[in-house]
Amino acid sequence: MPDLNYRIYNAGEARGDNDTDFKKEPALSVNQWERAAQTSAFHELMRSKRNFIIPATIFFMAFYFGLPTLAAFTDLLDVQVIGVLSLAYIYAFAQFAMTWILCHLYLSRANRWDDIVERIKRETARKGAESQ
Amino acid sequence: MNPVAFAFFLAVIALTLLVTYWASRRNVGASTHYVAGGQIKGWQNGLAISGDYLSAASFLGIAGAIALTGFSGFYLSVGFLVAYLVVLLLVAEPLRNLGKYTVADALTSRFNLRRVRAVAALNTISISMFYMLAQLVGAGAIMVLLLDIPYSVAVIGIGILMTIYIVAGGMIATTWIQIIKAVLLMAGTFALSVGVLAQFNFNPLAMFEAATEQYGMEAVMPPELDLVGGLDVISLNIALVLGTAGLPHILIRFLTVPDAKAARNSVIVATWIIGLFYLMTPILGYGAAIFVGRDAIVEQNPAGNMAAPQLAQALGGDIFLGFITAVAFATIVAVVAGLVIAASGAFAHDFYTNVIKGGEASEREQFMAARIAAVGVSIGAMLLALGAREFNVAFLVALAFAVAASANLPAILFMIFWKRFNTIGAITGMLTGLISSVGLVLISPNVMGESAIYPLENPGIVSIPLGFLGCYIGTLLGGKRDEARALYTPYEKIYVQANTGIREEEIEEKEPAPRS
Repeated sequence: MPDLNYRIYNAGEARGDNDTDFKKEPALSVNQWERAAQTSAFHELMRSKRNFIIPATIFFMAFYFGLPTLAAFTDLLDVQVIGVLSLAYIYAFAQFAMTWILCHLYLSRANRWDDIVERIKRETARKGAESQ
Repeated sequence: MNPVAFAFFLAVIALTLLVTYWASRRNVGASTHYVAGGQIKGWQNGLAISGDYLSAASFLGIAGAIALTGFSGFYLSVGFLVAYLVVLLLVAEPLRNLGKYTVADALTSRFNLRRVRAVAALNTISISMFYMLAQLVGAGAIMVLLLDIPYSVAVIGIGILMTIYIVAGGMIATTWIQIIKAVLLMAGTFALSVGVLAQFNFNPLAMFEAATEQYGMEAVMPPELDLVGGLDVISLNIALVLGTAGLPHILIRFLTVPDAKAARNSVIVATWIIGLFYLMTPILGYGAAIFVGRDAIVEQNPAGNMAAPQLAQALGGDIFLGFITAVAFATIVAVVAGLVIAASGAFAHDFYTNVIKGGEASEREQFMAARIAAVGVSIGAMLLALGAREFNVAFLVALAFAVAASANLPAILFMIFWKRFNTIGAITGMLTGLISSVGLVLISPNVMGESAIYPLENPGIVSIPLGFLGCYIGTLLGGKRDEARALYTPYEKIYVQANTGIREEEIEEKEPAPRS
């Protein structure tokens, strides 16, 4: 059984340096961040984030600017659709629905990302251990 | 003087002072002062963000704008809400992961340089001051009308209250005052909406119909605009949707929660509350137009700022008017409290502790500096508000949004997402955004009237691209000559930290393994 209190720091500790020396040595801690950035879990996280955030942002920006653009420069939204309510109002109300739906889509994805973050921590620690 | 209004006012003041007293015993250092020790829960922060965000411009301004102009006023509601998608998807979690007490902290987590921090602090102060002036001028106007006291007494009174809240209770008091305000504002808005809809058998379509019968079809349609007018609408909408993600008093709310998950949950809660509020704004606006009448609204205030209180009086007499006025007052103090914390953080934490003292101030000194700065900011805002009585409230808020979107947002986004970004890019971008947005307003019809050089009222369509361009060109020009490069935190660290929230010690102390 390995000692559960044993901490892996990095090469610094393997060289016999003590903890305080290590903490003053930023170059060593940088390695940990590089290692984290190279883990497969981090690549997976960033791929998943990009695949959601970029299309979602393009979509909501286009949907959002569609309203003032169409309203200001065309007559397309001037038709009455429900009673006296114009299409412009329907479009504006749809923006509320769009915001809430996208928020919850983001929330469900982001809650899964939290699990990937836990894997990044484990993989980084393992990589750190292997490199010693 | 309306005695019921006076009683409600006193009740709000007493409640907020009670909260401040309770918070003062928990406000023990710089961390509790600036970010409530990072211990606010997600749902609490969601309510507090709503209380921080829904300002006099939202409650009084939009109701009046819809009452007087119909559909055009609703752009503000849509833009102020959709802006939270930018906040949630792009900045809330990275900011929580990188920041400490201020927006400048997040920027300097990558570029630890005094000049970067100084420019970021300057932006925070400028944006917060424009925003605060709008709130104080608005608050002064309401109190003059309803309590029959002089404008200067009203402004000084609010300023003194602010100082007490912040100096004694810090962010803990601010958070709970904002939560109370959010509940009061939602209750007040809901009561007004029910009051209006009850006249139409709870059929909103009948309300829209009544508005068109009285004011014609134009009341529910987007107005016919020429090219300049159309561009102005687009320009306003750009600033609305991008501005929120650059407002310091909103961004620091994400530093009051323990982690990214709580930051995310707080945006979801806030988006629901804020969205439901804005969904009710047409009911308030058209209700006021129908039951108060446009002429009576304009007679009271040319910009329509009194439409919501006037509607309350028409529906429920002096008692309802008193309640709604107190809600408006609570709305304003909660927003101003958030602004004082943001601006005093820029003075005390950024300028004093880090730029002047180089980060070498004791906890006691930092706490002291924070409180002195809060007093200074309150007095400064009071003096400015006394001189700015004639300023249009909506114009000041729109200016704050434009500066936030032009000066803060580009640097924040590039800092998180662009590897090559450097200090010269950050400083150039932040200054370009600040100078161009304020400069364009100075030469716009808002200030110069007929002889304006810049034809639009809203600077965003020009100044926001300039802010991004400033960051980009500054980075390219600065490139190899950037001598500060050695002081950068490596981008890998920012990239991993912003996206995961992993802290230094977490990946150093993880998992036991045999020594090889």
